Amino acid sequence: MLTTILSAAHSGLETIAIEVEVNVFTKGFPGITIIGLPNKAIEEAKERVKTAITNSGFEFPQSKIIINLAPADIPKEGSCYDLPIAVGILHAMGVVQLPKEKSFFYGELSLDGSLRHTKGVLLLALSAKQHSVKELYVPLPSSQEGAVVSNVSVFPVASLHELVLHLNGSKKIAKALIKPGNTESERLVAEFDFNEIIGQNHAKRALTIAAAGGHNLFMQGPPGSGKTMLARAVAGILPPLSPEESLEVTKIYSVTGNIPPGGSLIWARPFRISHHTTSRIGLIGGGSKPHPGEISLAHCGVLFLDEFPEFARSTLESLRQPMEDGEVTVTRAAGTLKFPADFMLIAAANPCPCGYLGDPKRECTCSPRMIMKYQSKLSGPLMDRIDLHVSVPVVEADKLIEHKDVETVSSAKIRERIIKAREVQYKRLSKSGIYMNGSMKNKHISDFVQLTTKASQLLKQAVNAYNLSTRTYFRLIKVSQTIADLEAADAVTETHVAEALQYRVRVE
Amino acid sequence: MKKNIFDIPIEVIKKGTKKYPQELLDLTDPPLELRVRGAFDASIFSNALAVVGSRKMTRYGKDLVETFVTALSSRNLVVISGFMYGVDTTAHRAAIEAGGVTIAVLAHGLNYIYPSENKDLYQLILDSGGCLISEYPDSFKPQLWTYPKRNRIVAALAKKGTLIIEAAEQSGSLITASYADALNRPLFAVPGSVFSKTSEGTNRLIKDAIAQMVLSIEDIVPSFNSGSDIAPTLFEDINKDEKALLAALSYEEMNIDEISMKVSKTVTEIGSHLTMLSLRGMVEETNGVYRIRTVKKK
Repeated sequence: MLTTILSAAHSGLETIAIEVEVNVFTKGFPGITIIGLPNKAIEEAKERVKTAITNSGFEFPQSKIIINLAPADIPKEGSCYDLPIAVGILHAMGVVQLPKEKSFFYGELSLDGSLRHTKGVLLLALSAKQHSVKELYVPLPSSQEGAVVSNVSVFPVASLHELVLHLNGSKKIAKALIKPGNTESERLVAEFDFNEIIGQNHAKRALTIAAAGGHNLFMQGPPGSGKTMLARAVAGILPPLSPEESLEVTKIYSVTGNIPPGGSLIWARPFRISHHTTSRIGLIGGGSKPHPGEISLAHCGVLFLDEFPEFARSTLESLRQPMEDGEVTVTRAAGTLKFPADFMLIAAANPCPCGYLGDPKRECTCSPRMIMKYQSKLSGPLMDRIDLHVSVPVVEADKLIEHKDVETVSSAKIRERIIKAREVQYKRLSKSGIYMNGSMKNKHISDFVQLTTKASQLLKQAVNAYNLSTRTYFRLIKVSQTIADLEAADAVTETHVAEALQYRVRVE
Repeated sequence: MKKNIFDIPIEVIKKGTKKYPQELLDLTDPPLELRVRGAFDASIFSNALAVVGSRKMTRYGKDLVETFVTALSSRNLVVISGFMYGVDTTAHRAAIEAGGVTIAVLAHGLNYIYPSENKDLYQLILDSGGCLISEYPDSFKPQLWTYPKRNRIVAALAKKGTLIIEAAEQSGSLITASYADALNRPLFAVPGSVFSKTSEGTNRLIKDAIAQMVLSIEDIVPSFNSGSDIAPTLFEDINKDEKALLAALSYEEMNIDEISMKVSKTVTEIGSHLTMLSLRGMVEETNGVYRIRTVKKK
């Protein structure tokens, strides 16, 4: 007997409906064959399904079973077909009735018949409307992801046995509802508070501006100057995600399996740290079956790359296109996929391989050639795409004891200011589909940024004096706008521009 | 298409000919022949000064080279150096920028460029009316022993003397110094910080009274006019806050956090002032450290 169950496959962030056709023969040697380009995980579904059905108290048919995953020409992967296969077999056996409404079955089975947390449920729920699906049967630990989507009933399935009772109408499963969560409680907890870091007010101010406007930032300074500490403290000053952003971020986290069991929408802004041994594909995304990389996981949040020049040149250069476009295009023989990647980059570097170039106390031991080679990795187009450049000097302890800090502000205070500045930006920009000054394109700049006459005069003067590129010119305007927004100023004045010039790119 | 610089003909000047610089005859082992590319005139060496120093020049050294070489070139002195990176390269470039003539004495053949990133400098020297000199065959690669050998030519050619800017102990610059001393050419050195490794050599030369201590250009060339090369500090058209910043910076260079502590203002407040001052050319900044600008740029 032939049964067709609806399930889904993810390709990038797109969801494709998959028909799981199960045919239980009356003749032939007992055994299961799965066709339709399954990967190893799906091949092994045979054993999981067989054991789960038996352990749930049902009889497994001693006959030949063919399972076809249609459309047959799309390669399929993952463990989410366990549930549709099991339901298909049970229906073919006449054990269970199928729901009247068009439904998706999706989830991995455990050998005892219970369902495990499976990635990609949010995307599945989001695509339900498009496929006119009304009901969703997903594992209980993943159901909160699906519950955020309205107009679709999400049934949290704890075990195969429970599902059979539900479908046969003897004991109904309650629809999943969103647990009222406190978004503020989901704040990213940073390792350091800004007021724990002594001195470095210049760098702190730059990081505040960067976080307020979503600007990329580059820090250079000798070892021990506190670059890493400063960058890690940024997690504590990031504003929460807006509902739109939250959905975008959760999608990526859902499809990569980064949502913990029981988790739902993500409200904390992503803060990703990549080590310099991260491969290019790990960072950018890709693979033969393209999946999002670190830059997409940092979408709407921060990507911190410490020891920036230690990254392979090809890895660094491949950051350029996503940094400009806010998304990454991955093209493979199998096709082209797009992942969102609108992240704020924080990069940190030493001034030379040994780290002590320009240090007042310690001698640099690098040869001029080594320094040149090291810095050449930092020069040119990539640096041009970074809005704020800061040098982080070593703080000398005696100087700190001698003078009191002019300002020490806690992360919480800074965060309040940033949230306010983001609101101002959101009001101004949201109609054009962007949320932050850092994402403004040149077109947006002419539409939204108001420079006073003096401010634009100063800009022109600076462009001539410092030989700035056109790209740098526009970056300066964006940063000036953020500085103005932090003060809630109506227009960008020459003071704002002058401060922004402090953070311009330095080319020796 | 640009002409290949190696296609420019090389002039060979043999010892004993008229064109051979007489200054070299002071050496115990003058080169048998000089190979020259570019404009060569044996009479200019009587007006030449060698500027040599550390390959690993500090910011202080760079400021010194630029200040002194600019002043020397504007006084029509020919600057001789060794084409190496660091002080040598900076000296050549500063001389060319100031519109002066500069001569590079190479430790290798003329059809070889080391360091390779100085290829443009090679061209610039030729374009600005200077020349490159070598005693080695044209394709000869630099060897460890060719550098000290080359230094004797530098010291001998520079009749007006040798100026040493930043030299560590046991550095090549000190070899040039000892040649200059042996040849009875004037030897000048600029003092540096007693903590700096790259100033140990120069400071000792001064202490041992081998070199004359140089504090300003007048210590090398008596001034023709009293025109100072140091940018005059104009305190007009500057507001009170900016005045305070300039006053704070006049003692020592500082990064923005240190300035902030010194004048008790937040970095946000002083940041824009510093930009304005640097746009007006009154302060300059490298790697986040600000200082009063001393070298006047064209």
